[in-house]
Amino acid sequence: MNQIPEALDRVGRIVGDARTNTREFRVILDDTSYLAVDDLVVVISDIPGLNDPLTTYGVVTESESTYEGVTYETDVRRIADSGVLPAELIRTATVAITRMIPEIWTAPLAGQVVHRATGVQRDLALYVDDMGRKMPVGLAPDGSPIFLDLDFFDGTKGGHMSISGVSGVATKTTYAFFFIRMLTGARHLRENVDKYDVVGDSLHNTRVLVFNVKGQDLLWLDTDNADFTDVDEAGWTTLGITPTPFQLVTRDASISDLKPGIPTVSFWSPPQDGTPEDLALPQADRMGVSPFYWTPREFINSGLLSYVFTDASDSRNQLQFLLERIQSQLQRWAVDLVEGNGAVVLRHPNEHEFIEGKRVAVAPRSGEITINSLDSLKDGIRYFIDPDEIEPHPDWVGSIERGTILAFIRRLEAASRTNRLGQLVRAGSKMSVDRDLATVTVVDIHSLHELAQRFVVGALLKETFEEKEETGLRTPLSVVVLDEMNKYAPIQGESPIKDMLIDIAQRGRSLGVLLIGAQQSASRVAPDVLENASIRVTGRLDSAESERSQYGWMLPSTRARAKLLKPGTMVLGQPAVPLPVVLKFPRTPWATRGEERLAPSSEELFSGLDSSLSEDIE
Amino acid sequence: MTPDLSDLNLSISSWDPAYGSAVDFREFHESDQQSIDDSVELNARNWEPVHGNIINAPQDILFVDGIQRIEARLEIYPPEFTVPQSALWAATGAGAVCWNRRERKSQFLNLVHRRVVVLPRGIEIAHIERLKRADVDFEICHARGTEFSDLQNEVHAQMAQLESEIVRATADFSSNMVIADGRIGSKHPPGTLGYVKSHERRYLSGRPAETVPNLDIEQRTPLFLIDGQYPRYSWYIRVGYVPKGNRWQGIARLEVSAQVELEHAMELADISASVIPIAAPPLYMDPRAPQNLVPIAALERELRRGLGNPELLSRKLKVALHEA
Repeated sequence: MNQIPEALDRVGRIVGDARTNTREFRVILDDTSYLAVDDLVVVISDIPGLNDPLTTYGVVTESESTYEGVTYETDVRRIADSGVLPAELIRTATVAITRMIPEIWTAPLAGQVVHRATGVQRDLALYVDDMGRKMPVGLAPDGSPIFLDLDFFDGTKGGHMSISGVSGVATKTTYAFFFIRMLTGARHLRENVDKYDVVGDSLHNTRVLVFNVKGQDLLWLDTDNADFTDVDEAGWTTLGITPTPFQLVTRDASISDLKPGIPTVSFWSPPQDGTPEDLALPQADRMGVSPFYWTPREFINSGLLSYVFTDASDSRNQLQFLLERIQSQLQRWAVDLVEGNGAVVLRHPNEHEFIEGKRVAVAPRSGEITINSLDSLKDGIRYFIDPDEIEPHPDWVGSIERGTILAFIRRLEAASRTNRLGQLVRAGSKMSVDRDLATVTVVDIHSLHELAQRFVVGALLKETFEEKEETGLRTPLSVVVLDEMNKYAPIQGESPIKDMLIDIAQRGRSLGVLLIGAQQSASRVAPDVLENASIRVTGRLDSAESERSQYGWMLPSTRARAKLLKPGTMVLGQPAVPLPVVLKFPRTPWATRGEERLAPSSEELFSGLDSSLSEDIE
Repeated sequence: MTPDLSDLNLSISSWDPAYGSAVDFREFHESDQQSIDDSVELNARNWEPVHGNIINAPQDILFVDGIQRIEARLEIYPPEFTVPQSALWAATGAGAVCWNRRERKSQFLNLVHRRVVVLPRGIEIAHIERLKRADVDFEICHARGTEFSDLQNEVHAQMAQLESEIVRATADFSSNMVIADGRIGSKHPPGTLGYVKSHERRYLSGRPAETVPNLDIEQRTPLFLIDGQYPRYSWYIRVGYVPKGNRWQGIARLEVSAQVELEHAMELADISASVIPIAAPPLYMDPRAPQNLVPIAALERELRRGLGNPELLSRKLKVALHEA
């Protein structure tokens, strides 16, 4: 391992005018060679007293050039203009040390020959040999794949991913989907399936839940990308994936129509309006979107009332106390209506009838409020906690002050308006998000009120997490992609969603619920969520942001560069490699914005017309 | 391990090696018997500045220079001697800068360094045997006399020897022009220009002497002949102006062997007047500006760098001589 087996490209020597140390060294480049930032190098030193030579690996963090022999700044004119001053143009590079083999931390020797690390040496420099299960997650500047140790994503040794970067270029979500595509399809790349099988057979069952919060950006995952080029295609091929858009699956579609090996996607949206028979969706120009909502029964059973109160100001103790009390009373009192499509009435538990442990559905009595929407749920609750003319029911309110009760009702009333949560809860045939339908479940919440967005996110996260908690199995993995993490798990304030996200961050690893959180600034996300993410990725950072301690895993030079990263270039930090690696990822074969959609070619549009015309001419 | 100093017959003088090196080497070959002919090109009464001419300038201009450094004064005092004898451990270096005017690029050529131990006349080499322990290559030579100044002169002669070797190795008078730092002598091939920065000696008087301070950039004085041990043509040029200085400042003198044809000497003078000022440094750059030309200063710096760290050498020497 300590010998350089292949003929490696010599690029220069370690400079002799400065000290080397175990962190970095500088290289003076040969006249015919160059080193660019992020290039990997290898140096072999014979250390006195060591039997085996010491192999030092490093990554170029800076590239420099100067004239040697220059005393004054204006000397450059005498060198380059008149040429009277002899001087040597020198080029150097600074290298940060990534690894030493054997692991004896001794500085490489000044004057040693520096080689470009390629092939096996490159993998050694990036600890690829140490990775339990390697998965390609991007391309190095030279076009070769950069690997991630999946053990640190899927929960084996670590879990979760955190993506930071300025918004506007959709890089964060695009990278998340690129990563998901790798996760769900890289299997055949592995030379040895048994050893390198990334997620095992459960891979095919890996489920990804993602919320579309901006425009209709994520509703084109099944559509060809007009900007996709041959260069991108070559990149995907290197990564071992045939670039295709995701396959659309709808609730009614037949599975037999699907092509094997291509991950599927389903789109979901709450209805905007309309009767249960004819739901109107906000995505007018998008076919294949399935509606979803919660029936009052589902709403009560899942305890979703807490996700109606997600504002930080809702976390006052008294209100929470009342909320919990009402929540448990709802679960005790609610009885299904016969043929009610999930509608319920609230009736004292003593009056419930059971057959084989199940509550018997009833017909509504006169005076009982039929709960078939959030608004009627509010009325139903109000009947017990703030009735007209009679005392509130003690089981429901306990000794809670009237002010708190009124605050609760006020909030519930505001939330149950149609343009808020109103359309999310309704009686009707079961229309919940079926996360097992496709590999990727996209839930479009961009047109919802913020309160409703939080409700949907909270409800679906809870559903996902509880499902895994019940099975107790880590696989198949359940991945949740959540943009604007700073909104759902802010550094300050309390909310049920934040609590759950922290719970997922802490326990999700062992349960196979993995978070891919994205945010503009990691400094505004709850540390519990951030610190549990083993994999860190950043795109371009705001310059103030890049100086914050949340990015301490990056080298100072990488931080400086993070301000200038272009879309498609990311910095990856993973526990398996003790330094950040800059990678590129190819453009996705699916459109990431409406504008990227590949329009049907004009030939296709007019093909029918052409033939009819020609017939006419004949 | 304690060295028995009384046993040593070779030691390093505790004096600074630079001590006593202030002898003016430039003068040591100069014969006092010189006569000046200031009417070889133009009658002395008609002297006036002559304009330089760059048309025939070759593509390459070579600047040649040498340096010397006394590393240590050695004292040889074996039991059979009545008084200690001094010797010098010195380093010399010489090289050239080739200024390619077309490509506007300069590069160092033929950088050579040589270490010498100069022994007084009559002292045997065996006395300095122990120096070889220092693991530094050196040559040994003898001075003409036994005085300290003889030793110094020999060091200078060694350097001049090296310098003239460089000139001979690099000069090709058909395609380049060679400018050596300082006066020229018989060791330089005829055609080599000597570039003299300072004016310790007064060569001209009367109208010719008045012409010198009135020179402008790219002008030169008419040629005059310095007739002596080594006859040569000489002329003054202006390389720059020194604000608030007198008009003799910023003047340099050049010379070429009188073995070359007068016409050729005039042509060389014309070229030098036009080309050399381009290589003159701005005042802040060098304490000897503007006369100390940029390529020569760079060459000296490079040569000096190549001599290595004097303290490191001195330590090696001490270790070699004083350690058992």
